[in-house]
Amino acid sequence: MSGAPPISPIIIFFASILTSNMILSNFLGMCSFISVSNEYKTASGLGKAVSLVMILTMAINYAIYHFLVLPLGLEYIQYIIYIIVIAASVQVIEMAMDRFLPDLYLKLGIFLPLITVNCAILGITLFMVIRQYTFLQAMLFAAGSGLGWWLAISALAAIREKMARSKLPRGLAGPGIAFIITGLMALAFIGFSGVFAVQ
Amino acid sequence: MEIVTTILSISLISVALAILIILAERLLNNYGDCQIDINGGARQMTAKGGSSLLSTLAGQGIFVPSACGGKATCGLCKVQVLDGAGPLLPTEEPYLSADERQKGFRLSCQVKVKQNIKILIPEELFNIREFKTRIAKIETLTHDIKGLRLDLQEPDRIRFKAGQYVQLYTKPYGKVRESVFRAYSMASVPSDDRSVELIVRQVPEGICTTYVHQELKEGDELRISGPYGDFYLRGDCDELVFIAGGSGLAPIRSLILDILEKQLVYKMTFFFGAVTLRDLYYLDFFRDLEKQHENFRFVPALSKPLPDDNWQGETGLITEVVDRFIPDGKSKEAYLCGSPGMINACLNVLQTKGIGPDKIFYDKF
Amino acid sequence: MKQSPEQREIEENLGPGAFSADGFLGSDPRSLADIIRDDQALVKSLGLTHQAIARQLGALTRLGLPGLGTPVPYGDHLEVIVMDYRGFIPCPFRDHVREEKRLTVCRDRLTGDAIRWTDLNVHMIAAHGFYEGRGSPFRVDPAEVQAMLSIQPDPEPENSES
Repeated sequence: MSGAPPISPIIIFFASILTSNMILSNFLGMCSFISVSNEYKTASGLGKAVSLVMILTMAINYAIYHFLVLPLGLEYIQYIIYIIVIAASVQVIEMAMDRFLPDLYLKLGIFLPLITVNCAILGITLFMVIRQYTFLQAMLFAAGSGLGWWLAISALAAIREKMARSKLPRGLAGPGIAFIITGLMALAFIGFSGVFAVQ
Repeated sequence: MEIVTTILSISLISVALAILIILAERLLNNYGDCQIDINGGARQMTAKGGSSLLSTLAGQGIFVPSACGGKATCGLCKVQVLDGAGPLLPTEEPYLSADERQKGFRLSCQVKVKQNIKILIPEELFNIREFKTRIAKIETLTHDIKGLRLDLQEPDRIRFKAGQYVQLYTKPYGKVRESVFRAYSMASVPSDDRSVELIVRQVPEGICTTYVHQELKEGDELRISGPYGDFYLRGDCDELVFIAGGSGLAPIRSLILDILEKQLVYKMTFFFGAVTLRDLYYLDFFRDLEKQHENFRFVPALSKPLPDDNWQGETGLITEVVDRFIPDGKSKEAYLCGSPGMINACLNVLQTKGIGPDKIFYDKF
Repeated sequence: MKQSPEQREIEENLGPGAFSADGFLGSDPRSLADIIRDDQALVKSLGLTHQAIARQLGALTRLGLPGLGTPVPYGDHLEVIVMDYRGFIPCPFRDHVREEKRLTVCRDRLTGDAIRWTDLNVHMIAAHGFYEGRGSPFRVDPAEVQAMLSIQPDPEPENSES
């Protein structure tokens, strides 16, 4: 594998929000994205929770990759290790939410533990490994990806709240229209491609 | 060799993360000690956080009334919280008016004590105590109503106004794994201050009433707290109308006996309604009372007596009977206790007679 | 599969000793979702909807209310008796609804058959399609209800519920 890409961490930050948005360009993390985007407040809350988990797990996984996986040659079980770390972080964040934001905790319900299997979170760790990011690049990548995910789900929730008053064909209500809107948003975001590069 | 490294590294990481989670739980789920400031510093206490305000206060000897045992269905446990309660929960919303919310009223059974908290509670609540009692007598009054006589052990005396209620605490039994509490009016007179008499009617599938009817035996210990309630004599009138049904007779009995004992001058009429004879009780008791006191009239009424009942008394719905006996609303107060249906129907009748809503009293839960 | 805290709470609430002495599921071995699904199929096979059943039961309760516990005749050979108790019972589905403790019994004077329901039953049928599990003391069986009351199906609905 080659060394770290010669891209400024700041560029990576903006790129992961706009041009390589986790949802709209990479289509990672779709299940909770579609399911929790009915209400703006809940969606925004989930977006922030996902961002937190991304930053936390990226930091831990980076350390594990560089101080455990590479020296000991544990590449063959690195996926398992990253998932264990993500599961533990989600537990901790769940507890923190129950303590400090009980409303949100109850509203998110099952989707909080489901963050563990949000592919976007494992995705950013694996991108970090594949692209061989430095620590600063990795952290800003995580922050940007989180922000991008939050931006996408908040936008979708806001649009869906407005759509609640429109007359939709019966079969399209719910996930149907959500996918169509997401597709349209993704099309719009293609306009950003080429502006920044992540790798 | 690889197997060993694999097992070791995954184990180590898992252990490290497990420790992290345990530490986080210690830190986050442990609310530590919280300071509760009552009535602007009049009383201060420290308690372990994490429970509802209602149970935390009860643990400190301050009993906020509750008829539903903390399930957010009675709205009686309102407490004014000045600081430290956290955001309003959706379970509380139906019980708090906009005005109350502005003043900081919350349902204490829903507010969790997580930090220092400042509250305001009415002075009467300090008079409420928890009592250890022994069941002296269980009497079967009807097919679904039992009378209890509880001897107070510790404290051994209770001070209350006739008409008030106590909260009865059950112990886990059968499939019920938790202790619950419910409200029951006292049927005994305040002068009988070493005992408390209760009348409990079995509610289908009721957790507390099933406990009372099936589990309790004479000699058992029972925990109660009290006295609570706004249902007591105002007496700004010449004549008193009492209407009761089912176990609602309890506070009415207390009021009537108390008035007679204190020899207060009122003309009293007591309407006791049921469907058939098997639902009536204490008939002889009240008939004797009627013979002894000429200012007390007892009117039992059955709405559909069976032929075997050989009923000689009044017949018809309680509302019809009240309508027949009460001519007008002049200088009268009415005290009602019974099922919600009966109370609503009687409210209508009494108001058509001219007894204003401010002269009609009943427990609103 | 990990359950959301709400789901867990609802199942606990439906069990014995939580909101009612014997619970709402009786001796039924099926899961809550299966109970609701099977009753949904039964209701559909009778040509009815949850709303129609709930509406009829509610109407009968209102009919019997003024009786204050005495039987109120309905139709040729039915009578309705309504008994109520003090206090409220919250809906175990945690939807912030609480119902008065009111029991309605509908008896057929000729055969002696009777069906009964509570205000809470009516709410759970209308809002959650829940008729309680088999063996529960207060299960409202749609087939028995229909046999006694012969509820007319609703006119063609504009949007059906799933």
